[in-house]
Amino acid sequence: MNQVVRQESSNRFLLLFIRLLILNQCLVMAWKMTEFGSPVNAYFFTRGVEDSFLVKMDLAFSISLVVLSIFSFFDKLRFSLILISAFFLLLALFKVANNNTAFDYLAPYASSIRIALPMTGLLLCSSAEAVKNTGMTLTRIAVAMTFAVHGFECLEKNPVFIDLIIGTGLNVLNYGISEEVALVCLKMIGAVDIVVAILFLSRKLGWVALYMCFWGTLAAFSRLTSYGIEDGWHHTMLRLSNGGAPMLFFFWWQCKSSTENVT
Amino acid sequence: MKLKCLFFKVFLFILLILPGFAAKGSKAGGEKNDLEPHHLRVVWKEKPQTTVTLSWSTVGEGKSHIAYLDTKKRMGNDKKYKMKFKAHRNGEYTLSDKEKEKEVTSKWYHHVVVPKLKPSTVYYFMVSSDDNSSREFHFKTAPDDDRDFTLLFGGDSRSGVKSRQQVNRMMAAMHKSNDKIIALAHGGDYIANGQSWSQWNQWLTDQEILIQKDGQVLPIIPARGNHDKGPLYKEIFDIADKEVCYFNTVLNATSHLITLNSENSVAGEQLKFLEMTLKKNAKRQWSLAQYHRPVYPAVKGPGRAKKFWVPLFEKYNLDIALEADGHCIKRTVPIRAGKHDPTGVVYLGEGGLGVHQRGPKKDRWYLQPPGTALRGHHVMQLDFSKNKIEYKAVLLNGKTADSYTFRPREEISSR
Repeated sequence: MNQVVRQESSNRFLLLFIRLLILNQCLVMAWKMTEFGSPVNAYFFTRGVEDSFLVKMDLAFSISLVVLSIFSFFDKLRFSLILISAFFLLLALFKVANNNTAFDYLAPYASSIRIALPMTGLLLCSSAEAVKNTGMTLTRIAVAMTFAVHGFECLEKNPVFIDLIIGTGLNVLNYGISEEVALVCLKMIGAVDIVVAILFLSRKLGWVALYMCFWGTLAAFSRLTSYGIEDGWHHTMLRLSNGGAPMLFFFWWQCKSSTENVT
Repeated sequence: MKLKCLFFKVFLFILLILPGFAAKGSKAGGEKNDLEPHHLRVVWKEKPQTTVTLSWSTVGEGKSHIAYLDTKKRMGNDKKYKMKFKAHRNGEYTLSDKEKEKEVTSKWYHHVVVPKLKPSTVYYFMVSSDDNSSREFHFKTAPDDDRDFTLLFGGDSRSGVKSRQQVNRMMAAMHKSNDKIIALAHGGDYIANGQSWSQWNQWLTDQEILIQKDGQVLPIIPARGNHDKGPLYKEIFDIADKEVCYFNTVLNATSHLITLNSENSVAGEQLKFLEMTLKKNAKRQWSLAQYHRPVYPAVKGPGRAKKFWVPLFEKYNLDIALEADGHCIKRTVPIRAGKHDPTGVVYLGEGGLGVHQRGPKKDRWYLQPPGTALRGHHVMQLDFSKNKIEYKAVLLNGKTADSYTFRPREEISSR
């Protein structure tokens, strides 16, 4: 009996945690779209659609996203989670189509946690254990993919990452890291990211999940330390899921193993 | 019957060999046209008083690519020109994978670096690829004294080919009527897809609008935009593979323009270059920088350069930062330490050389009066003199959308 109660409470905790992450990513994205425009806007703007219409479209997207995220947070309309997931996938696909920066073609993989989390949130509501497991597997793949793609970008010397390292060194440590050193760091970070992505996918290791949680959060906060609070907060907030999602697995696996130990 | 048969055989024979002759003839004719120089451009980088790059395209590869120059008109007689320079870099423009699939035909680029020129001097020149010579063109080198001059600035000619051509026609007319105009500084995003040769080919063709009937060429100072990805940008503006896309252009004895690359790492080597250049040129009256992604944007979010470049702009009292990318007309209030400050840096631009225009976010604090934000295809004209820079944003109808007078900092500080 205790075991069932423990299982249920851990499920509730996981669901609440996921919903918080989803609410956060939706609110930040809604703000970003109204303030800076969405990739959908950029795509149609390039094809000659009038800017005033696109601004209204972004506003409509933002309002819808806020409403959907509130619904999903209070577990009122589970279908909204599918829409949220589809919307984040749509944004990533339009980013690929726009191809505005060197690594935009990787957008669906780099932001796969944001796409998968709402689906996992939906599947975890099911009472069937197999469905729940499918939901968690989805996010597990997404976490591994996000880390692997970021690792690849590090190895490919993404200039954004070079600046994050140098900026964080300057602003936090008051130390001027040279570009050469930053590139060496990137190589190491890239290699580690890919290794942990493989480990995370192939084995249920708590310490790997904890490391990914730590690194995902640190990487998100590097936007804040590099760009400053005013310009970096939304970058950081949007990426909190990259640290939050591995945390889910740490709890999930802990809970599973303790349940198994009891039985 | 035999005769008929013979006639028929002869007829067949002629029928078979004629296309061969025709093909050979057309190929020979084609080869001649293939090496006709076009897409002619004059590129300015570091010291346009003494060194410029002359670039052109040909359909075929050719063997010998030469530029002939003189300070006198030679009407295209290559033997009369005093200076002769061989192309130091030739190659085929890189096609994108899609273009390769579609079997799009590429062209060849040729770059000649011309050194040891005299400042403020008109040079007449022609270029030739094998035996195919261009007509005679001319350009003027940058001044090395403190004389007045005018610089045009614009960005984002990437989409809207018709509008781009209209703006080019307007700039050509401005150049024709104003002999103080020395160059066009382009803030990047020349075309929508930097890897598409077809789009660059169109852009290069449209640039020919800027060449006057008498052959006068408006030099270009290029900055790299986020759409200018891939190898073509470097192939078009003669930048070696590992060469960086940032440099300092001395405009005259008292002014300089730093071209930065907001698409690369902004905090590493480029930051060192920026500090070193600003420090070295601190005594010049006018200090300007151009780059693509705005740090005080009127439409999008700020570029990541903000945290790194702005403190240096302010430390070394940069006068004007020229930005592109947002597709509107913008002039910020003078900014220092994130606040409106009369001694601060003014950020101009956002690009309107053809691209569809956006509605700027006028509610941002730095766009409040005396700053401004508008929309419309435009080019920005900066008239430099010893004690002021007169700026105006000129619309396609020739009207001035915005204007402002920049005074030397010491004058502002003493007020």
